[in-house]
Amino acid sequence: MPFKKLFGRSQPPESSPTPPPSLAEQVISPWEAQNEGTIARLARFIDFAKGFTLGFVEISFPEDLDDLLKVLKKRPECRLVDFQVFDFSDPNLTYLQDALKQRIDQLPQSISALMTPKRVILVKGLENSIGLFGDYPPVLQDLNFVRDALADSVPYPVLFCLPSYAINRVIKFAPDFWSWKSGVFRLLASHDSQDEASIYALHAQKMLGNASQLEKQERIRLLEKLAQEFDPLAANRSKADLRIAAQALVELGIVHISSGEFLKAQAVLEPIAQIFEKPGWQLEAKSDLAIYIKYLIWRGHLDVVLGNTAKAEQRLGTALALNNDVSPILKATSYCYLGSIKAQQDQIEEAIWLFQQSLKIEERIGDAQGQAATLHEIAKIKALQNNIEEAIALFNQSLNIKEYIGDALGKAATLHEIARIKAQQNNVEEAILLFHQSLEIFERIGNAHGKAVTLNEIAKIKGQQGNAKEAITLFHLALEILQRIGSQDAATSQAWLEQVQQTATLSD
Amino acid sequence: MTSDRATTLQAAFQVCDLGALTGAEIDSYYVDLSTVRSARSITSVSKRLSFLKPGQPAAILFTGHRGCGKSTELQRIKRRWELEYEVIYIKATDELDINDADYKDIYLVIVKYLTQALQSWGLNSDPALVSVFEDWFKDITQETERTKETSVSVEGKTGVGGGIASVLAMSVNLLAQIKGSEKHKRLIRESLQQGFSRLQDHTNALLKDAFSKLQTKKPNTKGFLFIFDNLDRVPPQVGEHLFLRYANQLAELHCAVIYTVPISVIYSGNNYANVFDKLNVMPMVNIYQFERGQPELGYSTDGLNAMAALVDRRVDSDRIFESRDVLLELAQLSGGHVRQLMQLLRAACLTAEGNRISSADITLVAADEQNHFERFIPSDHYPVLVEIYQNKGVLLEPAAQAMMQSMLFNITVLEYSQLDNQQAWKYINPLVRRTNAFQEALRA
Repeated sequence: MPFKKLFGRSQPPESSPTPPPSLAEQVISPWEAQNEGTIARLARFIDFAKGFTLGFVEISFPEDLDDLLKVLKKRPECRLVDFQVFDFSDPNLTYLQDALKQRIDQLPQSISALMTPKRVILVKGLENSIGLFGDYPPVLQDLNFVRDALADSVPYPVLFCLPSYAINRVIKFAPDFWSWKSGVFRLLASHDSQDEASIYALHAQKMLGNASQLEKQERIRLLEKLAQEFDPLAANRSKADLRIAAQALVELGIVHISSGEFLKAQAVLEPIAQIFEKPGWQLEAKSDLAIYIKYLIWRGHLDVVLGNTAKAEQRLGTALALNNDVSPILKATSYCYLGSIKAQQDQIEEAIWLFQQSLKIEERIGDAQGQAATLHEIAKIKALQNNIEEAIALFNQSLNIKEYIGDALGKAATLHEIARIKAQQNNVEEAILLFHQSLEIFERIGNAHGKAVTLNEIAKIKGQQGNAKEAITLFHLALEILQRIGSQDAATSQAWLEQVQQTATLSD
Repeated sequence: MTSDRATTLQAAFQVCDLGALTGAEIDSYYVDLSTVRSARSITSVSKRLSFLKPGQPAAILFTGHRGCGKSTELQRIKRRWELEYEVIYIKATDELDINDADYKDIYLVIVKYLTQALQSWGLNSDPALVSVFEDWFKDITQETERTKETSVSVEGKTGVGGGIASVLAMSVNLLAQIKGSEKHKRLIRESLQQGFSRLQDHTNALLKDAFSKLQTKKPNTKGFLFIFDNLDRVPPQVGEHLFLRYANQLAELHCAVIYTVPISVIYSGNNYANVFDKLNVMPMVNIYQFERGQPELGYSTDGLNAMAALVDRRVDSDRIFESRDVLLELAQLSGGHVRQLMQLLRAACLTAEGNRISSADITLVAADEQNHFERFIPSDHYPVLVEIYQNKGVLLEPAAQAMMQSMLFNITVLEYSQLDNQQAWKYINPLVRRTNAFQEALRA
């Protein structure tokens, strides 16, 4: 598959002319009322700014941006403004200037030379590449440097819409860029209680698969704080509170799963069901449904690893049925997980069909991470069918993408699978080398399950090589982890351990 | 005074741009601040250049706090010396990967711009020189290819036309490869490292040869003057690499070069001065009546008027401000920092309730801006800020001294220079002085 196709950007959103609202529609929401002064200043900024002019909009919830645009378009200063929202949420983005230029080139030319609407660019999603940790994130270092060039290459006012947390990092790590701002507009969220860092943790898309153990711990801490603050089981919770709590708990579950901590994930995901049963929770918006679907998928995924396949199938099926135009990414994920269940049940044809559905969506929306994961699953089937050459080729393709996008967890999983094939082929040295590579990654990112199953595999090889003592030690290590995290693999590990112990006693 | 000064808030916002003045803007908007801010940094650069004999090399460092007018002054230096020197102005931003700029890249950039200039005049270099350059390039290419990494595509051929065109093509090619990808960069840098003394020799030979060619064309020329702007924006570790560890390599080019340096390097306490003898730091406009032991300084009318003049040049102040005092209030809040002045003015244009900016508008703007400072100043900075407020940055403990470096870097502390004896002193940014945290620390 050509790389370009894999990483092609989706088309910019089309802007549709908004008819002037009727008087009845001009009701001021509480959110608008509390931000009235700021919005007025922002509208004036948009009116005054000519050519490249830098501004920052401090905004905690991405959805507030939609409200902001609606409100701005109602104002007389902005009636004729052509707002372009650029979503730059790729966590690996480094060269923002190039990305901006590319998107600007794709914009349609104005039709009439007489009535050229003023163009204003809003950049969102940049908090993902800015990240939460670490000094001098590449995207900010680059921004700090290309500032002057931006003035030439981007002839429009640009508003960076970021949570306060990310703005603080801009001030710290791109001071020269920050010093060129002509306005900072802080919009208060409609939620009464907000903790910037926690809210950020809720929305950060920075690839979990590459987060270090420390980053994950910090993320867990923030999310737990958020879940406690908005405790869904307390009386009289508003819908907004319930929404935050549900999101925080789902994200927390995902972090635990990505650490291979299945029991912890279960403890977090289970109580969410109660939120969805609350009278206060009614599906009002697409985003509510998305939270529910996300919950179903990860709950289903957890069911699989904990050995409850029937339940998993049911949940993933519901997730798929509900996902009518809600989120293509979640749809692709559901297909992929269902596919692996079918593969486990030896229903190969059905599995392949499901993987293909998943792949189709991922290609269309340019979801490289999902695509790499699906390719990995297909490769596993090929390996099962003893179609080794094809399996290796697919694994390598998946590996390439994962390396390109920096998906460490995915990379470790694929290295692990390739190593298993090498071991089966009696290519022991290479297998051990690859297992160690994957082990190293699992340890660095703190994935307990990955670490344990890899230790298992190494132990098996040691056992086969007659190195019973070392094998037993490794099996014990693996078993301990597997039992702690409640993994189904503990039983297999136990069986192997007993086998090696028996052989060792016999040969003594 | 220009006749088309801004008369509306919108026009005022637009004309009070935050960038450096260039070209015609210098004629329209430039205000000579030498009577209110020590011009030592600029004059010493000029003095240094005027003392140089034709063809004599020099490496000059130029620095200043962000937004104090550095790039504008560099543009003026360029203009001032254009008759005597062949001035080549380079925006480092256009040529280097700033997260990872290397002294070897600087050499390649010099070669690129030099050969470009020669080519545009229809001059050629000594064929023998071109040929050694070509040999060197071939070696680099082979070395890079030998490392098995077939994906590196440094092309062996040296460009069309031979002569200077091929040297230009080589440098462009190498720079593009270095900027292009991590892998290429690493491999090419390794090869360049091994062949660096040759690169250095050839570059200097090329410069010497070009100088003699230039002399035949312009007998009175003093040679080439390269101005590297924007290098002050590199992250600290790159700044240290270039200006401390490999300072010698930068100083050994056979031409006059002005490098902009990150101010953090200057204050890092390391000895950059062994290599670059003069240090040229541009101070703020002195808007105060300096008195070392006096915490709350009085204002200098001349200084405030000079800041106001920057605004007067661009806007019709009578129509933009409710009164002259409002403009002077803005000048006080600027701390003598040119960009801060423009930024406050822009913010005031956005905030103004009526058609003119009032004192109340300025108060609102200042409150907003001080909040931005408050969000990033670490709490342990405040006691030191109080100390600087009280004694103007002398007699600090080593730990506080180190802290002051980062304060200068993030402009919570500003640097001034006395006009009579050139003595430097520090004072805190007026916006920081207004923060609650500072006022609390002051009471403590």
